[in-house]
Amino acid sequence: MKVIVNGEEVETQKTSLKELLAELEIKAQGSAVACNGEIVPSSTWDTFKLEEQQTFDVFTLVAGG
Amino acid sequence: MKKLVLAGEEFNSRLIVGTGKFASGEELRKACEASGAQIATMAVKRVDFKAGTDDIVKPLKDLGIKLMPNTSGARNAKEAIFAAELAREALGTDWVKVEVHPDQKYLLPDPIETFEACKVLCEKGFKVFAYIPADPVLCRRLEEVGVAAVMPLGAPIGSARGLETLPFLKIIINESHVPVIIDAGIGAPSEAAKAFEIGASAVMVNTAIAAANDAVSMAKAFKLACEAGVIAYEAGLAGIVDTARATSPMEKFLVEAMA
Repeated sequence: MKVIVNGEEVETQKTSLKELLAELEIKAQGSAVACNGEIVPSSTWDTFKLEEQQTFDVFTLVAGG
Repeated sequence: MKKLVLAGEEFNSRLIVGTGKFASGEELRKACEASGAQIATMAVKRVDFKAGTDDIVKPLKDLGIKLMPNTSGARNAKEAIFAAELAREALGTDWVKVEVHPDQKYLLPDPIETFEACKVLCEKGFKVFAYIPADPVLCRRLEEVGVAAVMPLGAPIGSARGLETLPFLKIIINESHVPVIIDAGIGAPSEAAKAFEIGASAVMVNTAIAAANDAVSMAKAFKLACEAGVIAYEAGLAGIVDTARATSPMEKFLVEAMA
């Protein structure tokens, strides 16, 4: 299926958000994910099922003042 | 030196460092170590999968530094609240430095959107550190909604123009019941010392350290200047007077001997 991650179309065989993020090498520590503008807590990543054309935004902490 | 207490947590260092603009992750780590800082700020950004991002969280955590995420990039209260919630999710911290600066030229904080964001985030249980213009009335209003500290600016971010808002900072420090962290504009260690001499609780420094020729040595200079300023404040400055105050004995013996 195809989902949108940070504006880019991603083709994946995975079914849960946790698996998708693992595929994209995103760690729970230091990352946050929103689906259609709503934050998805990392504690629910494993039960969050992927759907065709879902839009995800993945955030991380970067240097800043 | 008296400990700094922020949101119920105690710190020995009163210097908060920003982590932006360092030449490398290693320079950042060394500068943080040299600064003695126990709190460092960072920003929340969308992951750029093409560029990749360095993990700066772990090296700072390894140094025992508490991380204070900011909402930099937010143009209004709604975006700042979203950034704060993302940061809480990513870092597991309820601390947040609220910054809302829609204008890119001067990066001056929008007081109305900042106030709105702070109010909502306090209600949601965040420990809010409000980056604001040096406005004593705004500080009072923010205190009323429950911010953990106010962070009035000395001058625009990264400008190194020092404590241009000094008269207003003094009013804020005199009137505040929450810690006052002077943020933005501090360009030299002497200015950090000055901030403490007038009674600031803490200072936040980023560009002045990161953009120095030798960031690590500059971090150490800020550490020493902050300590000097705090000790000076606690010792009590002699105070300014209009006329001279003699420092040598002013007896008449010279005049009498020559008579």
